[in-house]
Amino acid sequence: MNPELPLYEPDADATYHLEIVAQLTGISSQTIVRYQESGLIHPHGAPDEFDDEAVHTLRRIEHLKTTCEANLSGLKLILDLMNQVERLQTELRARR
Amino acid sequence: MAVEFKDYYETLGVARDASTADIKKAFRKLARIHHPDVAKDKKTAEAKFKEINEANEVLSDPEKRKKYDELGADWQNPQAGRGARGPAPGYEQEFNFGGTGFSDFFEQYFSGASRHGFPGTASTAERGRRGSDIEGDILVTLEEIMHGAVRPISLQTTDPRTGKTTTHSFQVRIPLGVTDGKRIRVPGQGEPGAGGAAAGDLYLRVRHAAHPEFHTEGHDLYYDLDIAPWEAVLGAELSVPTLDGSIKLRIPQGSGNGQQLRVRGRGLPKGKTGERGDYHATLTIHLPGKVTDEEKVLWEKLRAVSSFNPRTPSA
Repeated sequence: MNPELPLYEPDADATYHLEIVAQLTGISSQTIVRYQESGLIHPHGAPDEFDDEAVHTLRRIEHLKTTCEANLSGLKLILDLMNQVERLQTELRARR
Repeated sequence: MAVEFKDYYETLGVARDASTADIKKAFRKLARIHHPDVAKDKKTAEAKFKEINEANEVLSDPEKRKKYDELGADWQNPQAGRGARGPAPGYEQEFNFGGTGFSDFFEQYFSGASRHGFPGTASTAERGRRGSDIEGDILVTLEEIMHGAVRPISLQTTDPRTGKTTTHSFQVRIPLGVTDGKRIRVPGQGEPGAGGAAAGDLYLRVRHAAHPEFHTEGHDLYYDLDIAPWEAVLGAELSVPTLDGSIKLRIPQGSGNGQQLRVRGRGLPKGKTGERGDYHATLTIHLPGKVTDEEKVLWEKLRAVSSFNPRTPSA
């Protein structure tokens, strides 16, 4: 370990309350709840708690909305496909 | 960025037309020799182990291997093999990772590192624009996951408009027991924000380095245990390796080929909870290739007295 370099200690199991997620992503709480109701993101542990994976998905959603002009059903389809591809890639990798 | 071409076939010591099985065999053989736990010179072994893992990562994946083969002689062409990151030319910053366990060559052509976030538009740029998130893979050994580790990371970004290169160096503690495919978020280490806005985050997607003995599924650890027919039939007590020392494993009488034996709590740690995943030994029964005269007599005797016939439905 180099004491001169900043050290980050990410917690893989960290969860954040809805308000914090709104701050982290710059997306309003209402919009996050709407995404949750549409099944785009899922709470973790408690109804208003989200993990880093959800924060990542929210950023992805914003990116897709801006670059692909995707609507809710489009977003759902793209995210489902992206998640499936990722899951299959991980599975394939484990089998090799 | 000047990168050095890596001859992955040479690294694994296989021919360019080697089959997937040959590649797997060569990898496992070399990984056993250079595994940091076994080798005397740990530092050199670690570097070599990562090199072998990287070569295996590319050559065992048909898509990556195809791309690598096509890249071949053309690898110095700046356009060759590009596209994984897909930045609009002359618009977005270029970035390169260091310390992820992969070489610069791998990072440039195979890592699949990406960015996503908020592309600048006139209206948002006026209010300031949060930097994009940057995502990349980090190769982590099972020992690092088991015992924890701190990894130095560097992220070099080049602004194509000014040609200015900035390098950010920092360290990341690998969370205990982090599973394959999990993303860990390093806040504020993504692309810098514009107009006073916050920087994006860096997401490191954890990739478990292939291990010569074990593979993982979630927090569970899997080991292939080769046994003799009499060990399967009569049962045995064998010493098997785990990530933290050997354990005695009881093979029950009448064990079958492919059967899995589970040892609770000897897999990977589940975060800081103190709990651990399970250890599974998958049995493979091997038959002796050559037999001595004495052994032959015993097999013949067994044939004469045994009522076992694998081709009858009740077998």
